[in-house]
Amino acid sequence: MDSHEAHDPHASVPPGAPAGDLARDLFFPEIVKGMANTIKHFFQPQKFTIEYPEKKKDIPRDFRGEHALKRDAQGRVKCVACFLCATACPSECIHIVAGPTPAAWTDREKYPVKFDIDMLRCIYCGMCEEACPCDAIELTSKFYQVSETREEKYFQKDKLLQQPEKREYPDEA
Amino acid sequence: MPTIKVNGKEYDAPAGKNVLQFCLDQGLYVPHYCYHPALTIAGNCRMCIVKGSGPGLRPGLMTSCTLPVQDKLEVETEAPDVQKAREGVLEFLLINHPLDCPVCDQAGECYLQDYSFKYGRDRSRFVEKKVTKHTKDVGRNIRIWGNRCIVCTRCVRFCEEVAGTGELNVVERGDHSIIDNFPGLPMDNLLSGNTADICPVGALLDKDFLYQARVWYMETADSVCPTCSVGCNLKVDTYQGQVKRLRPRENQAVNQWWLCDIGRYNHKFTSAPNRLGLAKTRGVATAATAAIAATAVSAPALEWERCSLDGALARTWETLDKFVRAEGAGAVAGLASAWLSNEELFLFRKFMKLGIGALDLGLVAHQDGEAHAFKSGFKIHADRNPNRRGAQELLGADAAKDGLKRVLDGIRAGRIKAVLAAGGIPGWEPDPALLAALRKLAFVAVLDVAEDAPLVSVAHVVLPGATWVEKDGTFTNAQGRVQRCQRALPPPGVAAPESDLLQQLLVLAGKREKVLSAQGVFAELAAEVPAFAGLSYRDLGGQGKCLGAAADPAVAAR
Repeated sequence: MDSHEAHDPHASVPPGAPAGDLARDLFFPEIVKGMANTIKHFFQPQKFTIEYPEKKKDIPRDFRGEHALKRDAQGRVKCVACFLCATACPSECIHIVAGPTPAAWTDREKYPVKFDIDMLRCIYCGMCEEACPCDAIELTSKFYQVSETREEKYFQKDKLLQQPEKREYPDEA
Repeated sequence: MPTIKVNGKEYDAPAGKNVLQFCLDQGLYVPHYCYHPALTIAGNCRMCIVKGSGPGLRPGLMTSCTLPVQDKLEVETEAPDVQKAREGVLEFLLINHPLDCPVCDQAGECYLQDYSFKYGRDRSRFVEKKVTKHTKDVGRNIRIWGNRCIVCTRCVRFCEEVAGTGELNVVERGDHSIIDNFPGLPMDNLLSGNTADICPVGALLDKDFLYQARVWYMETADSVCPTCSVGCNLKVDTYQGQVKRLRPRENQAVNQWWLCDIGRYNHKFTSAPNRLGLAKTRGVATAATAAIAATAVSAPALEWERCSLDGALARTWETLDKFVRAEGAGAVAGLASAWLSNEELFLFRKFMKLGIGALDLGLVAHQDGEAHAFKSGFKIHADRNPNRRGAQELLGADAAKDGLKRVLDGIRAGRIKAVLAAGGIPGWEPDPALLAALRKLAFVAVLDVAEDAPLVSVAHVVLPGATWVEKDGTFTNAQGRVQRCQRALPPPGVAAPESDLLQQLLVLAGKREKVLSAQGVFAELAAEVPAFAGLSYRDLGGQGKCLGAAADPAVAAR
């Protein structure tokens, strides 16, 4: 006889068991078995959980968290308002208003007057980062997203420029 | 007629026509930059190169724009050596061209981009330093990015041959060649905006549209220009609910390929903050009793109240009706506007005659501007209204000419007590006598588009209407050509096309069962007005048809 059939763990009534056994019908032996397994692991030294938020996990290098707008060497926004991120964005959450640069910026003609990302629409796919010809936008490793209002999740240029750089947070040791 | 062979297929071609235009007419696309059907042939971009052979012709690669059709000519447009030559031409054109497509406004409608993608190499072999050239304003509306220029000289030939002003020329030599205006002669002619349209690359750009929108985001509707009675065909480009630019649309019978700057930039009023998005009324109850008591309270002394559109329409109809009952139909007059579409003028007359029974109809119109004519025959009319001709047909030539004077006389004589007036004319400075007369009236209902429009200042009821980009309709230009304008945007707030508002008034008057689309109204109009007989939206198509086309084959051919 096939051994698999003989010890089918999913069979409601094991073969040869007497009918109407109350302890078995209440899954009592199974519960005891399960608890024994749990208690066994409880006393083992190896731990799989971390004490968040006091301790933080290492975020993988390519993690796609909240966006940041990067700055150039002079501290100006790197973005040139080419709209390629907004064009690539599948959830249409990037809203840019372009304008001529301030007169002092002699190397560039166009920059974003407004650069808004609706984080509640964003799906964190990273297409904006991939499309950017100037390496001006990136998805940082910042992943916790708490806000009390919807408006706070509508990130504007100032907020995006103040985001931490990629992989700076949390401590990467 | 000479027989020529293009890509192995025989065609009968008109002698003397250039092979490039012939191929384009046949739907055989040959890439080109410097050739434009309106301009003389320059043959300098070398992009339209084809392989040709024929009697008296040294066989080989030649530019198809400079190659006239002759008998037994054989042309190949996609031969391997043609493709290789094109690739070479593009590589040369791109030698000094910056890789700034992401910040260039032309990206998306740039022929250099498109052809590079389709015919060009995928990378440059050029390792030297690129030549850099000036970026400067060459005129009031146009700026040149010299680095992007491929010196096709379309703009130079345009200014010389179409505008007839010749401000631009090529300066410097060799790879330093660059377009510039003559010192002290900026390109301020009234057709200057067209140079940005015909520029195949991003060298000449319109300062008004600069950085406004990436072109692939914009939606386009075919329309006509309302700024003068020429009625240039144009495209309305919109982005995020705003008109961003107007571009000419080819119509050889009207505007060739061009659009003047006066019309091109006259779209700001459509998205101005002063647009009327709500209906409002003031002192209508007083006005209604005033009809009987004959103690009019002039509108400017009263405070505005907000009102639903339906409420405002109902009050308009009820009050006008009360005046008719108390004083007779002669107490109400109508002032239509030369900015209304044919359909709206038709409905306006219908409401005034059928709904009210009014005796007097007049026409208000924008004050005349300056007329201009250009070397190519392009014209700007002094009549700065899109539909004066339509008003003459639909209100009657007499009403369109002298109606306004009669209405004014009627008001001054105290016979006319209430007026339904349509405005919607941007930048209109009406005769002060008209406003002074209207100000004395017991009741004025106005269809207009701007909060600070002249007519609104004397109104008791304001019904918010739509600008020409927000409605479907037709305008009749000065030559009698009926042309369609198509809706590109929704009107703001509760505003609605005047054709809808006037039909709702007709419904209230019990003269109509339901509100029809502009197309439905036009069908009704064509059935009732002889001049428009035989016309329909389908017949009008993209280029319009002349009035009386059904009766006269000579007119139909126009």
